[in-house]
Amino acid sequence: MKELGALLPALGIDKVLRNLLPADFPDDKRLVLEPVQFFANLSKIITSYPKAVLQSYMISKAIVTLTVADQAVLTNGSPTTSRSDRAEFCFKHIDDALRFVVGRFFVSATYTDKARELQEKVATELRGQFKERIDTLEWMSPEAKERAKKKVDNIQQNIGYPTANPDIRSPESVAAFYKNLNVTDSFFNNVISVRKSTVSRSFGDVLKPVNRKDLGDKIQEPNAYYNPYVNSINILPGISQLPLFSEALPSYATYGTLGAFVGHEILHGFDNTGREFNENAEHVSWWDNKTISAFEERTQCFVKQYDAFTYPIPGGKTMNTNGSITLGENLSDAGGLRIAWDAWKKVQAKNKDLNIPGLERFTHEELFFIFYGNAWCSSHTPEYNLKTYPTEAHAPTNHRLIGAAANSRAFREVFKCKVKEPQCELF
Amino acid sequence: MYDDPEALKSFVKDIVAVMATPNYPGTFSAEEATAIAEGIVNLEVDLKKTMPPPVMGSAVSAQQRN
Repeated sequence: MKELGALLPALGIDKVLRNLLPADFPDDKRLVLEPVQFFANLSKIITSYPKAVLQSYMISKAIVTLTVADQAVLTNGSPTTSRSDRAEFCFKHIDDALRFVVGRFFVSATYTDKARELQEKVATELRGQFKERIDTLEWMSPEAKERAKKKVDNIQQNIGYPTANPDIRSPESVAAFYKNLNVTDSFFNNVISVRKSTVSRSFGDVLKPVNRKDLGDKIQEPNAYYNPYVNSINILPGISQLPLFSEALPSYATYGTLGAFVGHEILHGFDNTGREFNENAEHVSWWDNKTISAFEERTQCFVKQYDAFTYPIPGGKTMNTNGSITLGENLSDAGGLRIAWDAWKKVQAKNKDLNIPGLERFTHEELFFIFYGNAWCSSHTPEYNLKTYPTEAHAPTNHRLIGAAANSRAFREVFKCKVKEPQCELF
Repeated sequence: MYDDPEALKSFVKDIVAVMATPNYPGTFSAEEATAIAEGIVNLEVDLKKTMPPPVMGSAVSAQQRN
């Protein structure tokens, strides 16, 4: 705590944390705070602004954060924002405030045991497939390969929904989880109560053992993620809906979409951030220098590849995608697609899939990639691009798709590209 | 709003302008209020620039979902 105070003297953050942490939190207990450089930079920025600006910033931030109105009201109907539909606005607040309550109904309405079993099976297969792939990598030393495979074995696979703290299958468990929430007729006070109970619960957990099975509270969101601090992949029910997933679809669809997503999350454990955490999720260097050099040399190809992509911004101009800040996602896209394909080819060899009516003109191999591409179908305005992509860890979806296809030998062979060699290849 | 400098500037000016009215003596003049609004926008940009990318990798970002 003392070190933290010295790192960020302008904010007195050690005092703030002391008030939020449990009273019995020992003074000599070490906190993991990352990245350290961010806090050092933050201190420099804060001290370079006058007090009047800092104070007004804090006030305006608090007003925006705690506002019970939407942005259009605050900006007097500025053309840059639009007043959202009242029902949507209210639902968003309920979804944020009582995520497990909404999640419980979402899961019971949309997510089946059969879907969960299939996803467990696919995830297990893909981990095995990735271990096989690691064995073939020329740039990795034998020792690094063994430890990498151990890390794959140690991945905690969280598929679906929490069954403890709370068990969302149990109304009593969900109610107990929100027992400190004070719901009244005042919308503003309810917003404050939600924030207080969330912060209190979060800091209250700080001395408890780490729960590797915690897949967060955003289960109804169409997403999946990798947590390097506990080495877990988390596949949420929200991503398990059509057009992304249905247990009724043929295997080429399942592996082209869900398989690639699961593969992507597994690969995050070995991207430019994930590789810094060892098989026990400790933030230590665990590769030999030669393997690290080979990794960095190969990743430069990805940086240059994505740096060359451009997207439209207002005024008829374009901006380049940032290959450096999107590197981890791009490495995971390439490796994830590769192992999803390899795993699917094994499944395909054992079971004959049916055709999908209307799509008979495509081979199942082509459909694997068509389903993969379909998952990334989206459209954004130049204004959205400018607001999002200069600092976003994910490249624009069309660049993710084009980049992953260019880096896939299988894609190049299936679609009979002249050049069969991937543009960039790591895993 | 914090992603949109113009909306932020407009909003902050409104707040600081209230603080500069006679009801709040000893606060800011209109000129000072404008300077503070500009400062807040610059501070937000500086803070955004220094933010590290997320350590947890995900399939898509929250922004892309919207």
